[in-house]
Amino acid sequence: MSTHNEPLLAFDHVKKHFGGLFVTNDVSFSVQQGEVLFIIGPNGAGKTTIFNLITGFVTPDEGDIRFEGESIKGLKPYQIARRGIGRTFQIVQPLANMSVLDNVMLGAFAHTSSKHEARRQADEILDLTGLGKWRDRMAGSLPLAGRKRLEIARALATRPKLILLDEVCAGLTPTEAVETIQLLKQLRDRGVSAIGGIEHVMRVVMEISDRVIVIHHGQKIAEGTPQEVTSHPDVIEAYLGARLEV
Amino acid sequence: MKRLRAWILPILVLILFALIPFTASFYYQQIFFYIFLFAGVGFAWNLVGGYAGQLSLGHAAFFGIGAYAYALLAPHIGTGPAVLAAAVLSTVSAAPIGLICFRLRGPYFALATIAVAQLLLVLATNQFKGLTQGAAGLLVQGMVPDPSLYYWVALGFMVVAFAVTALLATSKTGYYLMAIREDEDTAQTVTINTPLYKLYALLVSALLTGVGGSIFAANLGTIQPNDVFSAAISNQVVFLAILGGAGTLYGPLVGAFILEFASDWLKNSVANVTWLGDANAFAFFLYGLLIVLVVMYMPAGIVGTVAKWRKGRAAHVHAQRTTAGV
Repeated sequence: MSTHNEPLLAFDHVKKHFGGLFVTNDVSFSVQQGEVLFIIGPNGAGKTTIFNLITGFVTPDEGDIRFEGESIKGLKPYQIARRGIGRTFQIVQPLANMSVLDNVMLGAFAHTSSKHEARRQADEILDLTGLGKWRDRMAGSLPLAGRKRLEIARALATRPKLILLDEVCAGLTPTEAVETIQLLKQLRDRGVSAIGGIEHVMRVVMEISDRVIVIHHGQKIAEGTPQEVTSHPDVIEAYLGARLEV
Repeated sequence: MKRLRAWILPILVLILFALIPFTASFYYQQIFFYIFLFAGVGFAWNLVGGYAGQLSLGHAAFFGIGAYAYALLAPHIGTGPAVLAAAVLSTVSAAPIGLICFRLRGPYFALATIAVAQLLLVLATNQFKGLTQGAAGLLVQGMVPDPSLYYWVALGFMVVAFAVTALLATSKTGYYLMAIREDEDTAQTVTINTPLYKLYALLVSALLTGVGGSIFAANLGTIQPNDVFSAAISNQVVFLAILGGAGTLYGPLVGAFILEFASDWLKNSVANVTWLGDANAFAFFLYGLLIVLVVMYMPAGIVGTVAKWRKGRAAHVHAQRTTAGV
């Protein structure tokens, strides 16, 4: 099925409902190689479900999800991770009773069984992500920004082709958010594609997004460049409510 | 240099253990026999319950299967092959047990493991009475010509169990098991096949536990289902590992040492106090109290707490050096 113009990830008419509620209602989008896509939507819009669908924690009712041209629907989370999709969680889940170094080594073990080699790779990534100063601390003792960054570092150590960052900036100060965005830029320069999830339309996000999709009540209501999307009437309505015609 | 230093303490302790039979009475040799045996089984449990964080409360299942496999087969195939058979059978039995119990997480897993051990206890007592002689007891062929030699058998078993678990725990497998303990979902996102690794840990653990059961049975000379399949066995293994420090390398040995001596002391000292009524029941009460206190105030166990304390001090010294610009 693989053709050369197939996108890196194709999310194809996916439907998922919990009980009578469609949390993902016929959503389609794709991510190209090297692209940074942001999924924007208010709290409860269904962003996290999309991340869970892509990473295999939730299985679609209908539709298909393809990665590098092959369907990954129904694969287990660890199998999808092995294909090259890394992720972070909305509620940060560092392995609290392991050191920062150990956390990142876990990711590196995806490609080596040698502790020495895993440690070398982990140290490299700790330097890249600016976590070196916390190397030997317990992951649970880091401040929130540090834990979020550690999740990215751990995912990076598995050498993903695509990385999913759920609520990248939630709970961060503006300065910390800018630092995280800087990190995303570095990743893109290394050829890692990314999907970020974010609640609010932020200027920093607009700077690095190649494309933005807006999710509302489980449906995609807009897609385009950051500029196009922010001026879209449906998007404004979703965030601010309907304009009152007098 | 650092690697060399890490070996000094274990070697000294081992030399000390090797000297004990020449100075201690048979009574104390038996106490050490139980320390080594249960430390060994504790090491085995630690892979699943400590490192992988899957609270098995039913390790008596593997202990009992090992014990009965040895007891029933030794007269026919000889001592060595019977121990081997005990190892194989307990490992093989762990596969279906693991596949069923690991479908559940957290406390539900723990409950399922209790049920499995309890089921085997009932089966061995009633349904398979023809084979096991039930509560009447089964005569077990000895492993060594002289009872005092069981000391060495148990010591050897403990060293092997330690070596196996240490090798696994400090390798990639150990990292993977700890990741599963911390968060199974996250573990999957870093490509870990969590069901497979949990099963792997259980198989190795069951193998060692089964061998431990066979040694226990041989030393005892006669066994009944309640000796090897009971919750008392499962619990003792869990308690000593938690007391010493679940998920630490040396924890089970430290825990076995303390528990064995504490229960021996309790039995001897409490037995003479008549106003307490049933001395055994009171000993059990104190034993239970100890567990409650440890779990409440020292959940990392003795080795875990000491390690944390030392790490805290090291971090403090490091911080001082960094601020001083050294």
